[in-house]
Amino acid sequence: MSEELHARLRQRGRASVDFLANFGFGMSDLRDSVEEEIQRIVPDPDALPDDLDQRDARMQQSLGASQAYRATQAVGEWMATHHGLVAKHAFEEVREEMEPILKKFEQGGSTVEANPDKEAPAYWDGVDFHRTAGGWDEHDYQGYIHADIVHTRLVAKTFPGGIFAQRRMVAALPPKDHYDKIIDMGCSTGHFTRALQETYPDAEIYGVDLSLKTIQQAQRLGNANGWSWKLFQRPGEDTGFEDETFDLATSYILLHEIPADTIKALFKEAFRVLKPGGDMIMSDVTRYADLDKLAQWRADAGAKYGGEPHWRASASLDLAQIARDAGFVDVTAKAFDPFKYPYVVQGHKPE
Amino acid sequence: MSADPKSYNKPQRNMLLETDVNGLAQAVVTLTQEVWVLNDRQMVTEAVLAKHGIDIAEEIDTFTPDETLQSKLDERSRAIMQRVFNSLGGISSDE
Repeated sequence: MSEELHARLRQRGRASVDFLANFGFGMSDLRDSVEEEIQRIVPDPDALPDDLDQRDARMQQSLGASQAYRATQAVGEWMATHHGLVAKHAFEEVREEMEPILKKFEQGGSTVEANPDKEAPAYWDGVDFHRTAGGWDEHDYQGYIHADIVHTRLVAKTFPGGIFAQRRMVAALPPKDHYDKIIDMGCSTGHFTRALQETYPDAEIYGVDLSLKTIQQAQRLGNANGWSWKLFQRPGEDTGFEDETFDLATSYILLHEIPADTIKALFKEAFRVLKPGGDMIMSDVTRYADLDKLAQWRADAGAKYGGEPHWRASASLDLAQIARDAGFVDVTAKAFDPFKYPYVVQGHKPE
Repeated sequence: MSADPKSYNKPQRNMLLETDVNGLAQAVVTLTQEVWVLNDRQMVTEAVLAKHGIDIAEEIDTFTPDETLQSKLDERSRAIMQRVFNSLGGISSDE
């Protein structure tokens, strides 16, 4: 993020955000205690029920007897419901000085086409993703709040592997050194769009996302760096672009936020808008198939309480097969060590 | 007088029930945050006062901790959280 776009928080906001950033460390003893309990009650993950709901019921019943586990749930609930509020309050303290800067970067080569009259899909409308109160478009500057405060000051500090380094790594994976025209499907606030632009400096980049507030932040990011992104408030599965428009179609950490049938539609849309010979790269969360039953439960419980309604269905899909079904050839899929994350699917549209 | 006045000494009063425990946990963590914010402010105040010895409210509000102070702030923040969270979870703390 451009330094000018990086807010200098006031003391209350700064300290509150630091509090959140240190939350994981503050919970470390609790987590260690819970982990010991899990190892005791689950000596063999393979013996857990196959059905995810039954598995969760078994785990909840067993762990429910642990005071430390109950405490992690209660404290975790506070984090889930408060992180967005703390970030919003921190922003409001600096809103007066930041607003002119944010407005300034809404001008420039990067543009936004809003689409307020189009009905939002049911899988998105009214959903508080990540348990952000009011959803992505609740606050005028929700995109900025999440990009600058939640992502940069919280998630980036503790996320295994680093959210920005991972994006740069993935952006460099497509086989060609140069792409003329790229589409970033579900571009959100532009973190991956940035990685794409830095990897392919001469590329003309288009981004689509359902959230107007997030693409407005992508616009600011683009303009602050002198890039000319064309951003549209449209769903990734229905971009509205002509057939055979792009040389590279991408998405990064979008797929677990949409239902299975929409994922399939998205791959088909990527195939449709790619020129013959074009490349596709889609990255998302670890596949349940790559996890043992205990790790699946951990991911599933995290999704259940973390505002991720589509995670389970999405993480259970064979994305490589979906890519092939959409028409892609030379399809590869790879889970990156050491976290089996991100999970990256690549493919090619035949000439 | 219709009731034993001594009953007022230790009145039977309905207070928290088991079903209130989740709300209690939320309140405790909120309190932890507030304590931390104050603690942070005090440490920053001391740091800035040491430099100026004058009214430094605005400077505190816009103060950006250097690496050394940030490290101390993080350490203190984590310790406070651990004491409160461990209490809630029935884990004895060293402190």
